[in-house]
Amino acid sequence: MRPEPAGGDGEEGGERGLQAERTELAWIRTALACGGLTLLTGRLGGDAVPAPVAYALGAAVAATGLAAALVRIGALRRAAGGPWRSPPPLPPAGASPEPAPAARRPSSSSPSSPSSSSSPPPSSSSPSSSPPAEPPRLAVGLLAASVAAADLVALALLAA
Amino acid sequence: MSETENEPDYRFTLANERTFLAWMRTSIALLAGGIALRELVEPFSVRGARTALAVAALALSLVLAVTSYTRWARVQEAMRRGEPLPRPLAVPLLATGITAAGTAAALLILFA
Repeated sequence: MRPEPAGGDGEEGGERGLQAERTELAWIRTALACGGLTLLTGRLGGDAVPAPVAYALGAAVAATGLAAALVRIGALRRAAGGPWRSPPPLPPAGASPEPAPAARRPSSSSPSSPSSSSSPPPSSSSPSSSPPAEPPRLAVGLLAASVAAADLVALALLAA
Repeated sequence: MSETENEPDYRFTLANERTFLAWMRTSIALLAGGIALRELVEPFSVRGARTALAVAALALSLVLAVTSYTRWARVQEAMRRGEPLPRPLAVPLLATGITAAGTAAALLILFA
């Protein structure tokens, strides 16, 4: 059986890079959505709402979303600047691939192999000595607060 | 972090973060939809219906923005403690809200 290519689940080096990359892309998509919102909020500039106010609302959300994304992407890049950015070489043909210790961690509490599914079971929890980055409380809170504030302002503007 | 808590595997931390971001994009889409509904759609025959739908979209967006953060934090905490993940309350809320708004919009268009 052909061994799983580097970067797939079960290969610590490639997978860490891919996981961080997917998370970066999710942040970028969210920042783009915030930017797109700026264009739309300009339409709020009508009779009841001055156009500068509408644009300022959108720009504030876009700037906050972009800042949160940059903060988090920077943290992910710093953490992923380690060896896992370069996927490990494939084992020679016929050799039984030995999973890396960290790749085995999720299977310690789950009978299924982590290489058999793309998403590990959520019940798995194990100590990880070097996660890609700390949980992004600042970036997550900043983004949620900015969108919630924009919602409140938009509601107030509509009610006005 | 207490002795009973463990830092979750990095994949779970990142997956939780991506789920939060997906909720935030949904919230942003509802915010944009509410604004677009108010500013770009022709008024319905029922007075105030357009604004009511826009307000509903914005309110749902606000609720999602708040609950997505609290859910992210609760899931992270549950994973640290090895407990079952909390129930996603925002899922039925979102489904109900969009169904109600969609039904109301369809009725307004049909009987305009």
